[in-house]
Amino acid sequence: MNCPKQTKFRSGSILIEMMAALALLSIVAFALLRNSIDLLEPRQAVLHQNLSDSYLTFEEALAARISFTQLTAAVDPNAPVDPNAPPSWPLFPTTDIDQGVIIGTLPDGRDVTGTVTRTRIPDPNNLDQNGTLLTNPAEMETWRLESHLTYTIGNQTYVKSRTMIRTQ
Amino acid sequence: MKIYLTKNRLHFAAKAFTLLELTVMALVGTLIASMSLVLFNTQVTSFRIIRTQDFLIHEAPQINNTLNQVIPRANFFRLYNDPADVTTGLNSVIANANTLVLEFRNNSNAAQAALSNQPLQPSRFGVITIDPVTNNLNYYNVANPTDFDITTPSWTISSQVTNVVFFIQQGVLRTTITGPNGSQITHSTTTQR
Repeated sequence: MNCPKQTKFRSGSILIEMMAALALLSIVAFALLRNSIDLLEPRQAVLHQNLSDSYLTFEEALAARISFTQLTAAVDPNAPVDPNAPPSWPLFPTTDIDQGVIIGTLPDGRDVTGTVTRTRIPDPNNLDQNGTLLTNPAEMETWRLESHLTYTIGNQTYVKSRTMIRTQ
Repeated sequence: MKIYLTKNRLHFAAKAFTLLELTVMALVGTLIASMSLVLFNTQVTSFRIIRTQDFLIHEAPQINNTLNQVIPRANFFRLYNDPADVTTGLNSVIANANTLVLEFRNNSNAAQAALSNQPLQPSRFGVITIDPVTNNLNYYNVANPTDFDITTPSWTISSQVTNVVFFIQQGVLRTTITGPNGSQITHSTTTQR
């Protein structure tokens, strides 16, 4: 029998090739997964940045709008949280802490919440502080209104602050 | 399997895959196919997540920026929960509104106008609402609220908004914008005082 010359395959070579393909696919899968995570993680941070920035526009607007009478009124920081209660920036070191404030909703319908801490700090040149009629002849009263928003992404807690100066 | 050709016939060499070899190959083949499928699904899921987040990441800050450019320049505002009420000026509300009317006063101070020897300019008005036909969040610049026509917007603020709610909280004008997939962001501002 005249047989043409045959290419000699080693037994099980296809299995080796398939295993190599599987290994290569695993490496590609891992690389792509890592790539996706690298892409999605910073977006999660940007998402929370945008929501928190947007919420803090409320703190800024409220601090700009609140009357001096309301601002300097005595506030009981231990009073129960009432959403209809007048806003308050109690005198430092007392703080008004509002927990569970909804700052936005994510695309999956999950609310993003944070804790808002408010306080007001008098200017040292106020007459009831260290100011005198010589240093403050116009008898200006100046307050620094601070709002701090604390929120959590994963295991990390972030604080974002806004400060408004009010003078009369 | 070895196949070779003689003058007239095909001869099949007897050596073939064993059942065990075929089974192993089929298993590994299935494994490769399912891994490829998982890989494809992961990419599709990532793409879907990115698309659903796009509104809050790209569109919402631009909407907030536009609102922040327009609303603080107004002197007065009114809220309505029906755009048709803009022309009549009736039924204004302070919550759950879908239409915002802004009044921009030009040299509203008569004394200032007299000092600068200029005639007192009439106010201009701006209306922000969603056109229910196109579903766009639009801005309408009108000389008078009675001129308001929802079909002729001056600008389109966004075409990705599904709902907008204006309300007043503790004296602050707040705007809750709902995007695709239920994402919500609330912007707050005040007008000139």
